[in-house]
Amino acid sequence: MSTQTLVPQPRSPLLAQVEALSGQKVYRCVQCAKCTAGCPSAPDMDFPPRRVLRALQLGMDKELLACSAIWTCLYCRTCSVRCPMEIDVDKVLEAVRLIAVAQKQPSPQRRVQQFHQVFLRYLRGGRQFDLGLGASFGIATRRPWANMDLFLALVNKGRMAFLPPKASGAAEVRAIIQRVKEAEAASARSGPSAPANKPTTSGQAAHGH
Amino acid sequence: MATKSFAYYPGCSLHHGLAREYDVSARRVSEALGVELKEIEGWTCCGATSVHLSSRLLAASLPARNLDLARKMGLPVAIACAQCFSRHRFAAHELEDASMRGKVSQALGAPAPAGVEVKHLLQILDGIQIYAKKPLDGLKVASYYGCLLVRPAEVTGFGDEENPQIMDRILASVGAQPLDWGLKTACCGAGMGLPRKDMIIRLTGRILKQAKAEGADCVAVACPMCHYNLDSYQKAIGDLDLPVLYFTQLLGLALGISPFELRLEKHLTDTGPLLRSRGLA
Repeated sequence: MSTQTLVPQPRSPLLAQVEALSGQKVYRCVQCAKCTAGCPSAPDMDFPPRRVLRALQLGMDKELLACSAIWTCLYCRTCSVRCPMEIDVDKVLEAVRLIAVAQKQPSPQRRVQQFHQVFLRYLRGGRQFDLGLGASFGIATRRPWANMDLFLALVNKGRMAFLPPKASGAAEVRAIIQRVKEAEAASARSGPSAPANKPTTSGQAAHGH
Repeated sequence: MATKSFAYYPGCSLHHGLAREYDVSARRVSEALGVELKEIEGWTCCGATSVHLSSRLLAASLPARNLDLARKMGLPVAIACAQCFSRHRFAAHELEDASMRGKVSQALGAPAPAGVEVKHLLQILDGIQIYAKKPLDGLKVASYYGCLLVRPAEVTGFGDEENPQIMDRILASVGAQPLDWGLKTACCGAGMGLPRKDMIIRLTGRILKQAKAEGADCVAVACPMCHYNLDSYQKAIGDLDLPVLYFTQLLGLALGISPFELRLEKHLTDTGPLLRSRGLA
């Protein structure tokens, strides 16, 4: 994937939000690029890790919140282990992604986003259901046959359960999800420390829940 | 034999998903080694990566619910899945912070538990004397740890983040010859199998080819996601035929448990030739 050109922007809120959420000091980065060198996803990234840090320093908020890298990052933490400045780089990318998710930014990695959305939907059953997850993903992405060969091989081996699991705690899980949503919406309304409700540089109003 | 008891959290993949054979072999081997795994009744999903990357509070609250069930059992938690282990261990870590514990308590509608110990099965079996009935004499094993078991070490407690030893040590104790190789903790691509199969094939191809070049007879794993990724795409990568086994299955073989009981026929990459060459099938 070709990388983005780095262009300095006027001072913007994302850097402060990311530092608050991640607990990392983005300006400590000396741009040595050990993170990118060890990153398994780097070939698939528009902003490889070093560039995410630099783009934050330059205030490229709009580009970062819409970038592909936060969705192809595997959160394997190799970057953080190897950073000579002891920055937890994965937490920086995680923070950008959490902010993008809270702002309901569309992902350029649409299928990755759809996968996680389907997973979260099935979470409401209390326990995950592989067949349901795979089928729903196939329908959501309109490619129901894309993984048929593997699916059939797993069925053949008796590894694919056909009935959804029973979970006695499902109602409790739904209640927890609900209370978390309410707590996050409340903190987004009240606190300046809450990243979710700040307007973005793109001028898009943040979503209340 | 002294019995150690744990509150066992199987997780979705092991309990009713693609990694049933990990659950079966983990229970079987634990039993043989005097480790009692009492399943946590009413456990629910840890939320995995999807929750971790959408809400920090929910990511702590879902495992916290399970930790509370374990607290009521009065036992430390045992987990075999690397993903579930990572999520529960992270939650336990975050619950040490009073303000986070307050928020999680609110989400749970009950006081969040503090101080519940979470251990991976590898950490539990490490140090237990294992008497191998059928030692894995010289079997060249590439121990593959992946990411979630080892990083970050201050949360997982697995020691060296680039060259962990625990699985190598356990497998060597039953006669296997663990390889000293470079991609033990390289990422397999995790849950990207459905949305970005191309990434999985690139990443697992690199890992498997390296293991094979080092002379591995098989790869040992301790994670359902790693297993799925390394085992399922070998034809797409190009006929590697390198069996990928759960470390519990290898331990089981050494303990004299039959390959069928350990569900060795469930993998997509055939384990038959390996077993026959060892006189085990």
